[in-house]
Amino acid sequence: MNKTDTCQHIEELLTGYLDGELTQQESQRVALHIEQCEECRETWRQLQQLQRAVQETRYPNLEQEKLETMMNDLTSKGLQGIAWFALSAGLAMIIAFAVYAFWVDTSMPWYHKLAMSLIWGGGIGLFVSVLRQRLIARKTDKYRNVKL
Amino acid sequence: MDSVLTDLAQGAFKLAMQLLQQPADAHDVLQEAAVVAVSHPGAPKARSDEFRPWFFRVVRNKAIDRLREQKRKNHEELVEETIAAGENHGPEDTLQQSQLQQQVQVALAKLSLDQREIILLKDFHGFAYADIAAILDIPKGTVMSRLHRARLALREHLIPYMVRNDYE
Repeated sequence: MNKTDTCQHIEELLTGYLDGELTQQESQRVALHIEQCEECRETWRQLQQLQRAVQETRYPNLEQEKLETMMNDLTSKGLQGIAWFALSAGLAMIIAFAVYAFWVDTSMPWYHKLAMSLIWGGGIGLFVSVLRQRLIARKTDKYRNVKL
Repeated sequence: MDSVLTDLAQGAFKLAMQLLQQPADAHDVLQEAAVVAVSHPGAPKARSDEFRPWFFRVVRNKAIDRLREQKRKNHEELVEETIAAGENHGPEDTLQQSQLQQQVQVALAKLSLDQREIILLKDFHGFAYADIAAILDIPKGTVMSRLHRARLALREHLIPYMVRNDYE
C-alpha cells in the first residue's frame, strides 16, 4: 500500500478518531499515521477546529415563559385525555346497559325492537361517517393554516 | 416525565431551530413533539437512556415534515437572509471568535439538511454515533462516513476563515 492509499483509508477514520468512536487498534493506527503524515495532520487539525467552532456556536433559547406555558398545556392535555377516557367509558357502559335493557324488555314485540334498532343504528352510522369525513378533511386540508 | 421534558426542551428547541431556522416554527415543532412524548404508547421511559435520542428523533421528524409542508420555499429565502446577515458584520465587531461563530452558522446554513443535521447532532448536541443512527434512522456504520463528508463540506465553506482566525 503506498502513501496515498494509506491517507485515503485513514482520512475517513479521522472523523471517528476525533469523536472517540474508533476501536483501540484503529485509534493507534490513526495516531501513528498523523504523527508521520503532514497532510493528514493538517486535515485532523482543521477537523478539530471545526468541531470546536460548532460546539461554541450559540443559538437562542426558548423563552422561559413559552416553555412554562408549553409544559402547563401538556399537563392540561394529559388531564383532558383522562377526562375524555372517563367520559367515553361511562357513556359506553350506559349505552351497553340501555341496549341490553331494550332487548330483554318483553313488553315490546320483536319487530318493533328490530325497527327501532335499524333506525338508531342507521342514524349512528351516518353520524360516524360524516364525523370521520370531517376529521380527515381537517387533517389533510392544505389551506387550514391560511388566515383570512 | 414533565421534569425530563423540561430538561430536554432547550436542546430540542435548538435542534428544531437549526433545522427550520424560524423560532415560531421551532416552538410549534417542540410542542407537537412534547405531545407525542406524553401520549405515544411506544415512547421509552422518560428516565431511560433511550428517551433523549427518541425525543430528538421525534423533533427531527416533525421538523422535516414541516419543511416538506413549506416545500422549502421559505427556508431557502431564510438561508439567503442568514448568509446576508453573516456577511454584514461591521468593522466595530472586533471579537474574532464571535465573527467566526457567525461564519460557522452561515456555513452550516449553506449545507444540505442531511449534512447540517448530522454535524449538529454530533458536535452541538453531543450524541454518540449509535444515537445519531437511531435519530436519523440510518445504519450505525453509515454515520462516520456521512459525518466525515459533511465536515469536509463545512470545511470548504470555512477555509478562508480558518486561515484568518486562530482557534488554538
